Amino acid sequence: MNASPLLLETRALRLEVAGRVLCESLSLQLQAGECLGVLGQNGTGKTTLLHTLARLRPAHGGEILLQGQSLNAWSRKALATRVGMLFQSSSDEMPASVEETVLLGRHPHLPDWQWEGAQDHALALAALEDVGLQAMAQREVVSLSGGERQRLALAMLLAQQPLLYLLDEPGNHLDIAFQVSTLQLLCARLPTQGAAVCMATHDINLAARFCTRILLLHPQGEPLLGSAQEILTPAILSEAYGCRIGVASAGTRQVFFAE
Amino acid sequence: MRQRHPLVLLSALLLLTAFSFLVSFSSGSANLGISTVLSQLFGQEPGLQQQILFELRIPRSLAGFVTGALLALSGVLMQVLLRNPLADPYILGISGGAAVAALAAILLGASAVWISNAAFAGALLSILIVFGLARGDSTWSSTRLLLTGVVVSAGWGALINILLTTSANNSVYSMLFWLMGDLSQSRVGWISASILLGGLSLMLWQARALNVLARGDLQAAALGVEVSRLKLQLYVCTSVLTACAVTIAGSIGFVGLVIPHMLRLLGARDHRLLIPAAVLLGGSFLMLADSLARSIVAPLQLPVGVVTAIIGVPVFLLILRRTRSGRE
Repeated sequence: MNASPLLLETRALRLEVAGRVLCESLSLQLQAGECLGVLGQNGTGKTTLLHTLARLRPAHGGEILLQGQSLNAWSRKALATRVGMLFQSSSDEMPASVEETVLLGRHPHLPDWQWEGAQDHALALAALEDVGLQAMAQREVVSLSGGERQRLALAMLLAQQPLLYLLDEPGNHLDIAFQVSTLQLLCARLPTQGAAVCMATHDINLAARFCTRILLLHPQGEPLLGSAQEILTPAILSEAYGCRIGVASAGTRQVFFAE
Repeated sequence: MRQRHPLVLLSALLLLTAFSFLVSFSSGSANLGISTVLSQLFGQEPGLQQQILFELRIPRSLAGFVTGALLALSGVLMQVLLRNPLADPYILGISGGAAVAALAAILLGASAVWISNAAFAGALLSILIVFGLARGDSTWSSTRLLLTGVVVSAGWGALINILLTTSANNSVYSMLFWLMGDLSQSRVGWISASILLGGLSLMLWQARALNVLARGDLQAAALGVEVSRLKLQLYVCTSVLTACAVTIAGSIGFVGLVIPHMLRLLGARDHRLLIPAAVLLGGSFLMLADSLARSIVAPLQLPVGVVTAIIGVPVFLLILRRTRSGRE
């Protein structure tokens, strides 16, 4: 279709959690500029898949290639300059300011013994502006609300400048305006950065709005992979979620809801 | 903020360290004023004062500085390792193991050197036990490590009580001094100084990675930190530093807990600043506490661990109150 470089590829990927098989053989390709949505019921392995793609847990079979090279062949640091992850929750036990935290995103880009330079500070500040936290740079992380912490985590990810953005529930704690504006901002940058997004979410409407392709995980059986139009239909969704899901049209958009 | 603080804080701490050394040299039963100390240091007139200074005061001050520095550095590292701001160097039972071995040596009537050797062996034994039990499936969960350490620590506590209740009165007195932490017999050699410098350099090298690790294991791995390797380094480093400190001076409390907190409150949360600052402030704090310990009831001496606790408890409670009101 186009000449976008292949960023990520899985071949016959097998995922297990505590002896339970989540998927037998997943083969998918992700190209620069794409936004892939991962949907499915609770416990179908959305987070497990993202963690496996970020090499935070081992795959139980098959192969993952990042830029044509096996994921395991990358050093942890080199990997972190290409793959970044937004987690569902963060640990804030140790005190830190917003600015200190967002600068951590630059860690993989800096050699040992080197402090963050002017460019790193500029990137960190730009990331804070992107998520609307620039006025809170000196605040303590513990004093932030849940939504502000989620935006901070997102700013840290933006400062990391990976090629593959793995987002686990990016809409968590965010109000509807921020859900849309942050993903809009991210998706708009993908083509120029040569980057791609893979996001796991429970929000079918968020996925419908931003994702070009959908991976739908099933509690039993193999996952479905296809374009958003193919997968996001009431029949397929109702079966995957085990409840009746309807769709309504609102202007040019479709809105999914549980009946 | 970040550009101004590091050098200001570190210079202030260097001045404090120099001041603490002078105070420590001049305090004790024999009154050497600071001017006497300075003239002896730079002029060297032979006599009793010089003998007191070079044979008693300076070695003891150095022992105090190195011990305080070891404990404060170990405290900083233990708090990141366990991702728990209330962790202290003794929480994983290292001091308990050292204490049981040291008390057994006292019971057998061993000399000071052998009590130290026994303490070091006991600390190593405890490190290995906790390491072996907590490693489990190589994932290094902080909770598992903490639980194992706390339980092993409780076991050592029971053994300490058995030793205390079954020993003769005169050895119980020595045992209590050891348990409270005491610098009167302490000397430091090249080994402890090298351990301090080695731990300091290794952790300064990893300092930025420690900042990342404080955000959680998964987040750190996603930002390019080899988490298992770093945690292993942290565990070995903090254990050896603590073992070295308890070997020098017994289990002196509160330095490893309070110093990192004081510095964080002063704005040093970045480990690249916190680590060297903890070494300086920990060393100075223990030297000053020891100066008090040997001058407030002179010619008697209090165990320095009592003084650190007497200063440490109110300071820590105050810090805790301030941080809580800061969050609200």
